[in-house]
Amino acid sequence: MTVAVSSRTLALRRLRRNRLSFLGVLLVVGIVAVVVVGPLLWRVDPLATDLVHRLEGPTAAHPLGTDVQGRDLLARVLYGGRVTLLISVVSVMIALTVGSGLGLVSGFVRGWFDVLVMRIVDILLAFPPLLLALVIAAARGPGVGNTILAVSVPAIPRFARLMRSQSLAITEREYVLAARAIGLSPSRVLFRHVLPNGIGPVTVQASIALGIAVLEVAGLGFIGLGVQPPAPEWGAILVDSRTYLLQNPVAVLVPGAAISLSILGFNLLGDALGDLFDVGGGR
Amino acid sequence: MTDAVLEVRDLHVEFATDPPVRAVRGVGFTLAAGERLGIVGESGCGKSVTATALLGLVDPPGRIVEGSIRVRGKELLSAAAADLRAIRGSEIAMVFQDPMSSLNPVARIGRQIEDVLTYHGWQDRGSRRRRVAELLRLVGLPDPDRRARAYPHELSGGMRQRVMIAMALANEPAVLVADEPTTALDVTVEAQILLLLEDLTARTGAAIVLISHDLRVVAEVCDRVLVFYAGRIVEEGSVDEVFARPAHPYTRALLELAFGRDRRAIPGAPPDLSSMITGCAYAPRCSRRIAACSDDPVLEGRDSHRVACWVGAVR
Ligand SMILES: Nc1ncnc2c1ncn2[C@@H]1O[C@H](COP(=O)(O)OP(=O)(O)O)[C@@H](O)[C@H]1O
Ligand code: SF4
Ligand SMILES: [Mg+2]
Repeated sequence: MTVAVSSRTLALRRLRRNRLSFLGVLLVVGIVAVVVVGPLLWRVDPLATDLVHRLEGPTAAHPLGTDVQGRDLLARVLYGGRVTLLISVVSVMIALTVGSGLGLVSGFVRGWFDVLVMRIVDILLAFPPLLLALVIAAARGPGVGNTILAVSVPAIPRFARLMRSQSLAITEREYVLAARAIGLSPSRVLFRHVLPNGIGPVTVQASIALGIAVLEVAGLGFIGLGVQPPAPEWGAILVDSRTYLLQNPVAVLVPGAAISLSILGFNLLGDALGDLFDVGGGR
Repeated sequence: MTDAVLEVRDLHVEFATDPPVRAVRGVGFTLAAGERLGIVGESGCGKSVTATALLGLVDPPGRIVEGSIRVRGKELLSAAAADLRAIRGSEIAMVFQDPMSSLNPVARIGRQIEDVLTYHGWQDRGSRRRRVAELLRLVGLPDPDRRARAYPHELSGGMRQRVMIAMALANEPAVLVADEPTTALDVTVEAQILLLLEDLTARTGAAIVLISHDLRVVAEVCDRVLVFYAGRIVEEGSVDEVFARPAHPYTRALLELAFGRDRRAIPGAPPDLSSMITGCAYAPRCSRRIAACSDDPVLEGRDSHRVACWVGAVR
């Protein structure tokens, strides 16, 4: 076990040395914690309207003020974070599963299946992901389901490409030949050898994709093609508050900062994970 | 021969590269139960390709274009994929050259050995576990319970090769193919691993095909030897006869290299296997070449010693 422990401590040391990576982990953990725990502590209904107290600035009762319907903005930002992040995570998980699955099999079986999958991937890659998300959202209309679709589909090709190259490389490794030499079936080789050895860089890609997903979910919400009001969502809150920027700038700053910091956090976390896999070298 | 566990006939393997490479050009031999056969030859003469072919593991662009491989009478080259898998790891198994890269880095040792058992009909988990511990002890890894939980990177090269041997012998195969099993190891470890291979194959009755570019290894372990050159057998026979009275100039040169006083390398290089080879493939490097050598020499002699050379006949 000694080697394993020392390589782990080495990784931790490297993580700490790299302040930006540390910041990334901190941001992601912090934001997730706030969004998960926040609504449990600040038990205010984000949907409850109160037309007497509409468009108020920060007060003790409403630390971030209220929106045009008198809804508590702090509660909306906290719940909105859950919505934005959950949709992002679900979208990335779908893209990861579909994309990596296709890539894994493509790189392993090669032949016509690989050619077909990679053609489709190339076509999808020809569009900038944000544009593709917009097109899908515009075609399908707003709503949670369509947002997930619009965010996950553009993320699929990168996962497919990455996992395919992992799959191609690992299939050539001697331990795969050794596994076949003891009578393993192709599907077992795939799931026991190729997948676990190839998944590392996919987690890096997942983190980066999460940053993009947050941007897209909030962006779609912002332009009215994402999650529909009155459900809270960071992008949608931002666009609501924007009109009253001068009366209550906090209402713009806080969701804006939440979006930016999440994107930054996931990107830095991606870098950190990248470093971590370099430490693992031997894989 | 009724007790033959492995029969190879006229094996040809080609790589559909550009230009195509004919790596194995008509290899045939028979392996008796419990026999220890060595395959020697310079690097690039088709030893590893032959080894992988013995398990039906030649991958594209490679292809077995001709020949027959029978393991305990079962033809591999026409076998269905599932039948082939059933034979691999149970009737014929393989130990690879580099133990550092032939184990799955993210799976525990015990699990990897257990897999061989699982895929070959060991239903009961408890008996698999016991067998894994027994195998680890058998290959000389003390404290098997702790070792079984280790990952490959926690073990030395020698230990990993012991694990590979445990995996290969888990189902007591009739044939064990070992392709340069000690080339990547230290000299002291090499001796231990060779002893282990000898001991365990003797115990389980497995025949062994031991591939090595090192004739000393083969002299130590094997009963019989095949000398490969350019994808063919140029000399074969009992280790005693071939090493005492080598008939082929190439075998002589290899022996000189391994045991001789000045140990000079053989001048020149093996031929390019992508071009047509007519006549004796060794001719460009041979000091005893005669006019007849532009014709293909055939493997001739008696059972205990055969040679493919126009000049060096078996005595
Ligand atoms: N994957 C491959 N693609 C193309 N040619 C190959 C491949 N593997 C082996 N060869 C050819 O087969 C020849 C024999 O290789 P090999 O059996 O590995 O030699 P060795 O006797 O050193 O084990 C090599 O010279 C090479 O040209
Ligand atoms: S056949 Fe001729 S060229 Fe070939 S090894 Fe014998 S003597 Fe040399
Ligand atoms: Mg070799």
